[in-house]
Amino acid sequence: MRTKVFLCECGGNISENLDLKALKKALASSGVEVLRHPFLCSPEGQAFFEARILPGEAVLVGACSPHLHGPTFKTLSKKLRVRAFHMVALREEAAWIGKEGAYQRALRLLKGALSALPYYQAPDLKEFPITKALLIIGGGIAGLSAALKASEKELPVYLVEREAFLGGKAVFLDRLYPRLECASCLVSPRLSALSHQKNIRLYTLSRVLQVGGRPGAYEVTLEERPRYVDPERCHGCGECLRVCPVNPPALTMDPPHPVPRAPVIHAARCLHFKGEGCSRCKEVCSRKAIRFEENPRLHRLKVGGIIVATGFKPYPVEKIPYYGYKRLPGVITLWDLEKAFCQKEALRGFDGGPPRKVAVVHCAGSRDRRHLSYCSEICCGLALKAGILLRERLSAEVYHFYLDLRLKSPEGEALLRRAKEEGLRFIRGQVAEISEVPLRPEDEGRLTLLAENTLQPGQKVWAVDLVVLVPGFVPEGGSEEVASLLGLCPDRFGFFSPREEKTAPVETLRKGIWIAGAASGPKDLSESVLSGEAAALEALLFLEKSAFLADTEWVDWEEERCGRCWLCVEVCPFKALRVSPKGLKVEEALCCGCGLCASACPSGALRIKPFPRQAYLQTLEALANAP
Amino acid sequence: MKILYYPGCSSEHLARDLYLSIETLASSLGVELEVLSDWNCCGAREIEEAPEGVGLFLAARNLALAQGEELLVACSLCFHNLKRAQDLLRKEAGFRARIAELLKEEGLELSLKTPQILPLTEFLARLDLSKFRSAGFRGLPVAVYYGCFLSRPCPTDLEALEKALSAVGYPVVPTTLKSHCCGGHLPRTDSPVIKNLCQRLIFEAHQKGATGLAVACPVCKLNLEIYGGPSFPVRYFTQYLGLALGLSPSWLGLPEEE
Amino acid sequence: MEPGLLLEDILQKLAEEGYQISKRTFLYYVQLGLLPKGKRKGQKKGGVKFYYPTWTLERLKAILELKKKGLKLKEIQERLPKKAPSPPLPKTFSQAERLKDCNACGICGAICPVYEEMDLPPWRLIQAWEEVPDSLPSANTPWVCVGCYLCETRCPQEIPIVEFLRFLRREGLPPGRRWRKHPEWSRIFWSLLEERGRSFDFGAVHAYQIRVLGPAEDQRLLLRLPGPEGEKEVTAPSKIKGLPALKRALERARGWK
Ligand SMILES: Cc1cc2nc3c(=O)[nH]c(=O)nc-3n(C[C@H](O)[C@H](O)[C@H](O)COP(=O)(O)OP(=O)(O)OC[C@H]3O[C@@H](n4cnc5c(N)ncnc54)[C@H](O)[C@@H]3O)c2cc1C
Ligand code: SF4
Ligand code: SF4
Ligand code: SF4
Repeated sequence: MRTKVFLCECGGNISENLDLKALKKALASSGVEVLRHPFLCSPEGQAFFEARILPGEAVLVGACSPHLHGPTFKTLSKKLRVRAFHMVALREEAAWIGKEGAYQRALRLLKGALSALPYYQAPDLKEFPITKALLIIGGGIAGLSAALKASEKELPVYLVEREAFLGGKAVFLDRLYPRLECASCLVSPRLSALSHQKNIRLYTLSRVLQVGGRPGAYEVTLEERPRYVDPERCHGCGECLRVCPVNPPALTMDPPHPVPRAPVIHAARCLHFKGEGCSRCKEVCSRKAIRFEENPRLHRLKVGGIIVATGFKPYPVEKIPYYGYKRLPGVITLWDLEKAFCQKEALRGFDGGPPRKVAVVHCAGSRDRRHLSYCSEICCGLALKAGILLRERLSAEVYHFYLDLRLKSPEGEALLRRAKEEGLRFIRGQVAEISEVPLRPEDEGRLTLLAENTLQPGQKVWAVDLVVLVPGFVPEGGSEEVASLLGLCPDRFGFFSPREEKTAPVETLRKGIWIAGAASGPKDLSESVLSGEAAALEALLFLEKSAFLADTEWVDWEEERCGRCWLCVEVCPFKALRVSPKGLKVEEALCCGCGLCASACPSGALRIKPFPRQAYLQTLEALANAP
Repeated sequence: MKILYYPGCSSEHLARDLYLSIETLASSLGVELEVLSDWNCCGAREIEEAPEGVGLFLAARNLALAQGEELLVACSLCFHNLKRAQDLLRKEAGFRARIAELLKEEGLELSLKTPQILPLTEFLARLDLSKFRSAGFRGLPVAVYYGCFLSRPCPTDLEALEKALSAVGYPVVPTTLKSHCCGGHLPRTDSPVIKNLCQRLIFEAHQKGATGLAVACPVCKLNLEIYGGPSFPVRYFTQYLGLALGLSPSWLGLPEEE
Repeated sequence: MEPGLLLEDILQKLAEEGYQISKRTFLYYVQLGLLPKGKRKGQKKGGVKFYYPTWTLERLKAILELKKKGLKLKEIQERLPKKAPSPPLPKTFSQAERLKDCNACGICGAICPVYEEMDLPPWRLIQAWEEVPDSLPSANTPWVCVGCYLCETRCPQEIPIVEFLRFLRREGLPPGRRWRKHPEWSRIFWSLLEERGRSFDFGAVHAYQIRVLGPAEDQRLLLRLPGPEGEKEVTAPSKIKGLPALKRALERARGWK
């Protein structure tokens, strides 16, 4: 078998640290043909590659990481019917580590790969049918946008929302950063559009219990908690809310645009469920929509793909004792403010009166190792919005305490300008403490806030009536559970990681599962919509096909060698292995041949077939023995 | 019950009243205070500008003298110095070896584990004081103040004062500034700043309905008395406890008419 | 370039360490060439002052030590090296790496109870150190810090602020600047401690009040010493038994490198 080796210079990335000329000479002496190109991935490079390969040859590429251009050369090789293909990351594993020793490293890697090539067996390509249906977990703006986009293709879309109403955080927003347009004017049309789409099936008060099957054919079990009100009958008049004797009523219909437009009964508060025989709501309902007898229900769904859009929530600032949230009157969060504006509630300061002086506290708990060590990126903008509204609606003096102002887009700058024109004050300094005990006698009856103006030494004591804390964001509660059901990898803060941050932002490492919205990191509305629609389009592209092709037969299990420790099952990040009565079972559609199981197996019972053990031994030998 | 006890230098002068009340209290509770023999000064705030070894040695000598499970310490600054040194000596073998060398001259040896340094607040909170409360005693509401060194950097039980005082019948008013700073040693530079700090502490106690402030540390008490404003009583928590036990004010270091 | 030390600073520092030397003698030594000449520098407020290189201090100490041993000035002159000694290696803060995380958020300044007394808040010293590593500040901050640890427990980057300030404080007085009152207090404190093995706050406060502040009204408060038998007279604590050993140990601990 003839073997050709292609060495890429990567425009100096490789050739600057690596003597390719010497490398070529050393390899050529062992009888293979070595070809060199300045940019193998460029159109010219690919043409060069194609022109020099004959069917039945073996090909070794020494270039960048196979994660990047692996597919490029693999596809070309397949087209050219090469017998064996392999790629070595000369750039990442030899050149970029440093000039010193680069040549030796490269030579060993290439020699190792060369000695493995003769054993190479191409994996089998198999077809897996796809169920044409989509599941979306989370009915916030991201999930909603994904559902709307996907429903245009007429395939069944199941939208699962944990709460009683759809819309997530967006339905409680008042004005939107950066243009201060009315939030509900933008969000509510989408909500109504949703209720008119015939092929979208909504499950509120529901959660995913179980996920089985494989990509393209997932079997999902949902649990739906009772609402005790039939949304088909109810027309949302709200009569029941008025007769409920409990305070606050045991029925709620909180969002300004509730979808579904029917209240929910909270059994924990309801007198009927406490055995006190109340049924006032039932009596007053002219549509006979109240159904105390409802029970939890299970739903079994078959879907081809899943979009995860479980969203985020503000950091619980009550964990910062010296900010006094939930302890001091007049200390609220941005979320409280947003809801108060949205539901037209009056704002009260520390002394119970209308606030005249307001502090907006950026980074409440953010960029703090004891709380959130990261910057949530969107909150500065949201804080600025709040400051302007406070100024315009309450004519209050507004002070922003910030560490860095992180505003993006030209509109952000324009808003900052508007804020300054309206007289908002900006103080660079993080807030150290909020207290009801004044430090200066004249501040009695106000909140005392300690923050150093780091740009203008001197002042550090401020007295205000209202403090708006602006915390950063953490993943919505319960996303860990979703992650483990679906086998997704959360990052160290709990947000879902995409397959590749920059170039595959809505894909996950799992085939047939995508992420959307703030579940993968703090996002504002437009970014959430954008990623929701992107995820829907990715899903549609996948679900459109009747089947997908995948390399299979990666792993071979030798029953006699296996010691039944099942370490392999534990390490497989793709959940492709499971234990069946007949022994180890490989879920072919899930396995991608990463080889972790084979290297974990203490008894050598697992083999990666395309590269048999012999190939590895040869490689190791070459790596160890090369000069 | 017998307990090994490190009085600290202020017991002999500045805080004579604190120590008087401790002794009186102990004898009426049936606690025998066994004074650490030949103890020396912990170096107070001034060790900070001396080389690390000086502070470590001062603390280590006391720790080595203390042959026992526990060492009771009343002053918060002594507590901090001893505790910090003990932690540092446990962590850093280098310091440990050199200190051991210095201690050898007096034939002393440092143990890694013992003694456990026990602040007076925690000690009194764990005794069952309620049974000593004098019949018919009605405590007026008080606020408590721990100050810095019982709170940071080696936090002690920050409910201890509340526990002890409420056990003998004082309603304890909750405050938010109980672990704040009174200004510490700053008075020696005649700063007006300290006035604000102390007045703020008193203000809170007063505003929240306390009739007095129970403190644990001699420096805090001094500061609060001098700078906190004239009319608000500041006493050691041991004095408050003593009064509830029906002990005579003069034996607690308080003026007779109380 | 650092400005150097003023004559008064040098004498003060020496006095703290227990050396006795007058201004006249100092100038005489300069004239003899035993000590370096001061640099003339005009002051903003008018007038001139002379600044001596920092190593003058060490050299003068060496001279006084030799003199104690009974050597004549001439002999001393022969023994001492002629040139300026190479500057001592800067003492580095062992946790310097962690200072890099400071965001200059200002929390340490804001929470500091004695902020108003400080020339600069702690974070500015950290920033200065980041600019010029091993630089000792001329701000009074390390001496004003009361060690309450509020800053350190609040610092979002968990920077060992108090240890850093302690380090700066230990590294001595910044050149060209005197923190006038504090060293005096410290000197009184340590000499009383070493006399008995226990500190004598009363005596120290008393001495301090008289020497530095002048008689103050607060003295009345401080002197109140109630007892069951009425007010008691203050007496100094008795010496501890292990005093000689303690003194020797302290001496050795001071000399640790
Ligand atoms: C106070 C505040 C002010 C804001 N102001 C602005 C602004 O001015 N401009 C702007 O552009 N953006 C603003 N935003 C951001 C905006 O709200 C978000 O970008 C948007 O809500 C993100 O949408 P989402 O669908 O990804 O997540 P979410 O809105 O969080 O929705 C997630 C949904 O998933 C559901 N869910 C979670 N877990 C599960 C589960 N396990 N099973 C089923 N369902 C689940 C939740 O109940 C929720 O309904 C603001 C946000 C906040 C908090
Ligand atoms: S966006 Fe602004 S407020 Fe939010 S964490 Fe970042 S800097 Fe702090
Ligand atoms: S609190 Fe910490 S991070 Fe903030 S300025 Fe001070 S040292 Fe720097
Ligand atoms: S430890 Fe020192 S610098 Fe830090 S807050 Fe307290 S007094 Fe200020």
